[in-house]
Amino acid sequence: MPLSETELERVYSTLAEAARECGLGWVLEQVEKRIAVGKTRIEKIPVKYAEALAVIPSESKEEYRSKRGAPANFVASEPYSPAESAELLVEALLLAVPTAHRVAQHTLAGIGEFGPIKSVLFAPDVPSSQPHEIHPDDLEKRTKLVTRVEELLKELQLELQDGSQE
Amino acid sequence: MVLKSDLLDEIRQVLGPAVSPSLTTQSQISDVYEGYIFSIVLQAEQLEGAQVRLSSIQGGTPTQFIFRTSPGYLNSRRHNYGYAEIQFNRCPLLEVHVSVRVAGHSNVLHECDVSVVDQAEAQLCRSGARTLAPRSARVRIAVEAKYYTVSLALELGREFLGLVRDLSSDNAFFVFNRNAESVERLLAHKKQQWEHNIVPTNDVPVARLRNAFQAAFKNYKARTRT
Repeated sequence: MPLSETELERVYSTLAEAARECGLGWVLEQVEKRIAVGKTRIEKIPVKYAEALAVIPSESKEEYRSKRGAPANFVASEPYSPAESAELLVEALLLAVPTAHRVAQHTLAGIGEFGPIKSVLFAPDVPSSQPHEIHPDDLEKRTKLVTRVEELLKELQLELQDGSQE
Repeated sequence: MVLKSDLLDEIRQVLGPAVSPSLTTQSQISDVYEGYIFSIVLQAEQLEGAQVRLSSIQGGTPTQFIFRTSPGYLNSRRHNYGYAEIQFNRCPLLEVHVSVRVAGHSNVLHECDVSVVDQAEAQLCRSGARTLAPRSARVRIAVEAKYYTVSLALELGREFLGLVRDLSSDNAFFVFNRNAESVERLLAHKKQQWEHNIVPTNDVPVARLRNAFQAAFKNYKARTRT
């Protein structure tokens, strides 16, 4: 039996709140922008301006009349279902937390192959912004938690997929 | 069907402590991602037989490597920014930089997330009293790197096409961390170099990207070897 709409909404809102609480509001923003755009695809649609022709000024009518009925490509959008919206958010959190953590680890290790690098600082070339640092100790102490987050999000991802397939 | 009751609670509990304070914003993660791509460029150079040496604008080998994040000029002294020096046998030296401004054909400035620049050009721009941007003809590889948690918008692909048109480099790459069908279709149609799903867990695309960089270095060696 699929997850009920109420249950899916609870999943989405709980994850959204958790993301906001830990400073990942930007992830939510990206996901919600995507949800607002919807699932897009190209559709060939016969172009019939019959209704529009009634309100088009007479000098423009010729242009529309000549194309009547000819199929053309349109970008069509379909809304994401509650299950798909929740899946989008889970996938985004996987990229924002465990994958980003691994990218940071590999950056340190990758650069460390070429010199005695102890940490990496990211510093903007403007006066007011603050640098941020990635340090192997900080990454290391979070690795267990990151792995657990990944396991849980993947478990949730499976439940959402199973639920939407049933 | 109802979810296991404790699943969401546990996610909520562990998510916050798992996030490193230096990886909480998109710009921070994007900065780190540029560093990651920089490290793949270095690996490609080494595999092609180069000697790779990390350096910094104040000289010497740094123990804390500083990446420039907002785009800057090579002669900026705000921080002791790091870069890599690349030596291929009998070829002019190269440098690898992150987030520097380069000048296109039109003399418009562009930001290159990761760039491989002739060292002579880099030194000219770094050492002069005037602030100069390397010319794109002296940029051997330019990489635009994007880290997004959702599919990339098509406009990012279009912006890349605009960048490529104004750069001389034969080797401009659009690299991103996930798939993005519309961007991929656009760049494939325009015969651009791009690579998707570039994250540490995806061995195949990462190897393909590394190979593409290696091919660029192979051609550089063939063209410039004395």
